Amino acid sequence: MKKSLLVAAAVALLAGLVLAGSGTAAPAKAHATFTAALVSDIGKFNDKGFNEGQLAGLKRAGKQLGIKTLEIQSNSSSDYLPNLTTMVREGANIVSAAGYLLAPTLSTVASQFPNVDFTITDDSVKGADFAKAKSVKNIEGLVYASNQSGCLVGYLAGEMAKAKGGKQVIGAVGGIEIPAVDDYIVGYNYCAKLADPGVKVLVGYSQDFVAQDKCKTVAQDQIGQGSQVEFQVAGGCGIGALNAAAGAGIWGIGVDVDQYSLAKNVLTSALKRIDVGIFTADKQAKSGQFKGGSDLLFDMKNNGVGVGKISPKVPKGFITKMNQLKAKLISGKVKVPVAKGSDLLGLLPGAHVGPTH
Amino acid sequence: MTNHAQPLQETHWAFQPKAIAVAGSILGLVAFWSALPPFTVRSPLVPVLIGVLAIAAGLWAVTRGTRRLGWGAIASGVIGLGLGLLATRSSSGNLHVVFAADLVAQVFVFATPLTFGALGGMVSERSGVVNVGLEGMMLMGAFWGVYGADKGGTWVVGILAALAGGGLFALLHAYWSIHLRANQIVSGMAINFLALGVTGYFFEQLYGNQNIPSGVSTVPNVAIPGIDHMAYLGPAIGDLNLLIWVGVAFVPLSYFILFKTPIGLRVRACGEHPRAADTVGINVYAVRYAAVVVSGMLAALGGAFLSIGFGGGSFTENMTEGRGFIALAAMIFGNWRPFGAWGAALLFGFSTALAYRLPVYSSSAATLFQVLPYVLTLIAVAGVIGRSVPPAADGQPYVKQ
Repeated sequence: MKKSLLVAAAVALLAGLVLAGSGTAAPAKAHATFTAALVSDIGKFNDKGFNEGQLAGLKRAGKQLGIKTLEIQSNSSSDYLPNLTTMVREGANIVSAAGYLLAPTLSTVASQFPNVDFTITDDSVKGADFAKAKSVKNIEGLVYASNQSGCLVGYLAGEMAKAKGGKQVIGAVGGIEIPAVDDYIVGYNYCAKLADPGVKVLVGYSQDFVAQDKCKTVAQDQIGQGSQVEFQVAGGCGIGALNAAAGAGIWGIGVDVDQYSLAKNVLTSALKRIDVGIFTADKQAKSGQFKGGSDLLFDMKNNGVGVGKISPKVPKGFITKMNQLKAKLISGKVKVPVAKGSDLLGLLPGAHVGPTH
Repeated sequence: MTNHAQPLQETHWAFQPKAIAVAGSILGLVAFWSALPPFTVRSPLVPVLIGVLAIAAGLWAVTRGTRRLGWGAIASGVIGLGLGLLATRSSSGNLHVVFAADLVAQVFVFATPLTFGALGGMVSERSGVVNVGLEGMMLMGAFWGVYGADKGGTWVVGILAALAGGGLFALLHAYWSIHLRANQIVSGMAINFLALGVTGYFFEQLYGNQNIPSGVSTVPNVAIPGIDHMAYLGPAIGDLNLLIWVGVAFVPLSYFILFKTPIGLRVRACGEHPRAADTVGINVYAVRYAAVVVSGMLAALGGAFLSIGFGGGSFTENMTEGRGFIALAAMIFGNWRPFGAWGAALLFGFSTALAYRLPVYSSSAATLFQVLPYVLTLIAVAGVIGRSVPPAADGQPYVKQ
C-alpha cells in the first residue's frame, strides 16, 4: 500500500515535471515560428502596385527576419472578416490589413483577439475609421506622407509642362475621392505650381481601383483638354491612365510602387514605401516593440515616401531642382498641404489643408 | 385601311408624314446641339424655337397617322428644347470640356461592346432563341481574347480565341435550349454564371500572381489619313480602334444579311413561324444552332474589345459589368432591328461617356452621374418609348413532328 503510494507520487512528480517542461517549451517553440500575415484588399495581390508592394514587404520580412509568413487575398469586401479571422486562427502573431478599405472590419475584429497585433496601411488608428472601435490597443496605423511624394512628381510634371510650352495643363486620375488618394493629388497640385505657377491641374476620379478602362477614359478626357502629364492615383485601374498617356505620346506618372516599366513614357512614380511599412511593423512585433494604439509615420525624412525611377529624357537640371525641393521637404522649410480629412493632419509636422486643383 | 389613308395625289417624298417626323426628330437634336460647341448659341430663344418646330413637326406627323415616328419627334423636340435651355444657362467653359469633339470617340468606345452584343442578341432572337447569356459570352470573349493575344503573341490569335470561347458557350446555350428544350432564360442565366466562374478561375490560375503582363498585343487603332489631323473630325473619328469600325460595318451588313438575303429570310422564318419554315424544308434546328453560335461570337467580339481593344490588354473579373444586359436592352429598344439596336447602343454609349464628364459641374455627384446609362436602360426596357414587338416564336423551343 505504502509502496504503491510512493510509486504514484513518483509518477505524478514525473508527469508534473514533463508537463511543466512542455509548458515552458511551448512558448519558445511558438516564438521560433513567429508568424506575420497580410490580408489584401479587393485590389488583390496582382495589382502591380498597392497590394503587391505590401506583399513584397511581407516576403522580405520572412526572409530577413526568419519568420513564417501567410498571405490571403480578398476577392470581395465580404472576404475581409473571414480572412482576418482565418489568419489569426492559423497562428499569426501579427496581421496586416492592406488598406483603409479593411478599417471597418478590423475595428471590430481586433478587439476580439487582444493577443494578436494588427496593422492597417494608409490609415490612422486615431482617425474617424476607428472612432467606434472598442479598443485600438493592438492596432497600429501605418500612415504615409504621400503628399510629399506627390509633391516631387508634381514638381517634375510642372517643369516638363513649362519646358514643353503652349497650354500649361497637367492632370491627375484618382480612384475615389478619399483623403488617401487626395493627399497625393494635393501635393502634386501644390508643387506643380511651385515649378510652373501658370499650370492648370485637372483632377478626375474613375470611381474604381481595378478596371483599367475607366481610368483610361478619365485620362483621355484630360488629354483631350490639353494635359501634358497624367498622374495616376488609382492602383490597378490607373495602369489604364498610364496606357492612355503612352498612347497619346504624353507623360504618365506611376503611383505607390515603381511603375516605370509598366508602360511607355512613364516620367517617374510617386512612391509610398508600403513594403517598408509592413516590414517595419513585423520587425517591431517580433522584437516585442509593437506600439499598438499609435500611428507610424512614413515620410520623406525616414525614406518612407519618395520618387521612383526617372525617365532618362528628363533634363538633369530638373532633377537637381527637384532634389533641392526634397531637401527642403526634409528640413521642413517647405510644408506641403494635405487633403481635407487627411490622417496626416496632426501627425505630420506643419500639415495643413490645401486644394486638389 | 392603308389605302384609305393614302392621298390620291402622289405627294413629294419630302412631304410624307414619315419624312416630316424624321426631320422633326433631327430638329430636336439640333435644338440641343445649337447650344453646344462649336456653335454655343447663348440665347435661349434659339433652342426653344427649333425645339418647338420639332414638336410641331411631330404633331403634324401624328395627326396624319405616323404615330411611332411622330411621337419620337415630339419627345426629341421636348428633350432637345429642355437640354438646350439648360446648356445656354451653363458656363461655356464647362460646355467646351463636356462636349469636346473627342466625346464622339468616347461614345463609340462605350457603344461598341453594346453594338456587338445587341447585334448578336438580335441574330439569335430573330431565329427564335432568347439569348440572356450575352453577358457571359461577352465575358468569355474578353478573357480568352487577352489570353490568346498574350500566348499567341498577336491580337489576331486573341480575336480567334475570343470567337472560340464565345462560340463554345453559345453552342452550350444552343444545346440546352434547342436540343434539350430547356427554358432559355434559365439556360442563359446559367451561361452568365458559368462564364463568371470559368473566366475567374482561369484568370486566377493562369495570371493569379502576375496579372496580365504589360505589352500584350492589342487591336490597333485606325488612323484615317487626312482626317486624323483635322480640327473637329480628327479627335472624333480620326483615330478609332479597328474593332469600333468593324462594329459599325456589321450594322448595315447584318441588316443586309437578315433582310435582303435568303439566309436572313430563313433565320427570320424560324423565329416567326418555325413550323412553316420546317414544312418548306428549312432545317430549323440547324438554322437556330448556327444563329446562336454566331450570336455568341458577336458578343465575344464585344468582350474582346473590352480586353484587347480599348482595354489595352487587361482583364478584371466580371469585366463586362452588365454590358451584356444593356446590349439586350439596346436590342429590345431597337425593336430587334440592326439600325435601331445600333442607335440604342449609341444612346447608351453617349450617356456613359457623358457620365464621365458631368463631374465638371458637380464633383460630389460623380457617382450619381454613373447611374445614367442604367436609368436609361430601365426606361428602355419598361417600354416607355414605343412598344417593341419580338419575333413571334422567340423563346419557344421547336418540336419537330
